[in-house]
Amino acid sequence: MPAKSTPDACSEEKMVARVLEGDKEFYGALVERYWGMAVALALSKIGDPTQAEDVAQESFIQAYSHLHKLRDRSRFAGWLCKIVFQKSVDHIRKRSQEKPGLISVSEPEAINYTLSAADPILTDQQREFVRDTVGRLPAKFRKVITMRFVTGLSSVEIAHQLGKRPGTVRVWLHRAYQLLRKELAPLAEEVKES
Amino acid sequence: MNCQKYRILIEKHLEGLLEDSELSILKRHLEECSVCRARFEACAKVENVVKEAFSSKTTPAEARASILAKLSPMPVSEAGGSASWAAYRGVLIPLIAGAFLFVGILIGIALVRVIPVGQESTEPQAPVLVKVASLEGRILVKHSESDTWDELAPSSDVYLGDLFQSTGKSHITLRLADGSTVTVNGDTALSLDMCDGGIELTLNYGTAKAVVTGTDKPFVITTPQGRIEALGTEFTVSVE
Repeated sequence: MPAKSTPDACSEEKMVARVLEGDKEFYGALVERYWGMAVALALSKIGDPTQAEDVAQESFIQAYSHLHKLRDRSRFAGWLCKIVFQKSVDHIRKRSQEKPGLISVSEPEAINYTLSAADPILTDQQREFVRDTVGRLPAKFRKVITMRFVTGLSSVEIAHQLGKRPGTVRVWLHRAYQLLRKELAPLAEEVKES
Repeated sequence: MNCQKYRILIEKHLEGLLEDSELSILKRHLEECSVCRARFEACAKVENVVKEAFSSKTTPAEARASILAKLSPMPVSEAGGSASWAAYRGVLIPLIAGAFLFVGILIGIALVRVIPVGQESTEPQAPVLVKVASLEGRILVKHSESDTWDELAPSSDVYLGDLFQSTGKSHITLRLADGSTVTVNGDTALSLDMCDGGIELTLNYGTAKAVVTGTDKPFVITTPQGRIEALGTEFTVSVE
């Protein structure tokens, strides 16, 4: 009898196959792998960390119940991104219906974000500034930046997940990075390496 | 100091494609070159700042436990099922298939245009050839399906979607199918791609001159600063 493989040793395709066979432990591994990405994508759209985590959680639950519909099992992450995006849009729509007038988005105030060398982490205001900046990127740029910087996928892996050519994703990544570097220049100048 | 090679390594680092041996080579260079070090550190800082800003309060392990506890019974598997289902499969599946075929003929092509989540077509488009009209000096090209940079020759095949990088005093003119040309001088990085039936020129840095001849399709120029569309004009774009 072959030894049971661990989630860490499996490709994404095999992990999805094991989940469909009934092994929830492998779905747990997928959750751990892509939790950061799902939260970041939701956060870049919604803006509220708690609500973003709720949306990310709902997205994983929905993905699980529809997992049998995933045609290419090696592209779970790209598929999950679409679910997170749709859930985020639904969430914003519901929020606007419940409390009209409270969702207008204004440009962040021009505040001096230069840090002293003693500050080890970003303040809440600075985090919000970074999230707003990423949130203003075109959707495709926001997606590749999140998958690259938050999840750590390479441009080739991102291209596979999104069904795009590697060259296209590289261009998007470089353009997104140039935009972010320009917008975040005052903030990033003195941020200490953690 | 010629830092072109190290600039490419820094780009690979941004793309997550830098190998350990290449990282060692790059780090040795960064100890000596303040320009490259500043470029590398800027990239690392943006990454760290984004990672920090989007870090979740709930750890992945906590999320895993919480989500697993809320999952419904296992998802339906295409291959799963009881013995009684297997017994009916030989008769039921052809009947169902026949019914769907009948419905499909009645309703027509429109049904297949609905694409639900998770079933999008990901067929790659056929590569579109771009001609190298003239070439001087050293030009590097990275084809869309490749991870490596190759030196471009006048007879090389290049396509929309390829990345180009010119060095020093080099010069290249690319001619598109509609007769439009894009001329690139030294120290420039750009790519050409399809966009809404027309062409999109993405200039990462450097200078490019375009002469657009087609008037029925858009010609879009994208730089880190923004995006403009041009029809039937001649213009030069620079990004520092």
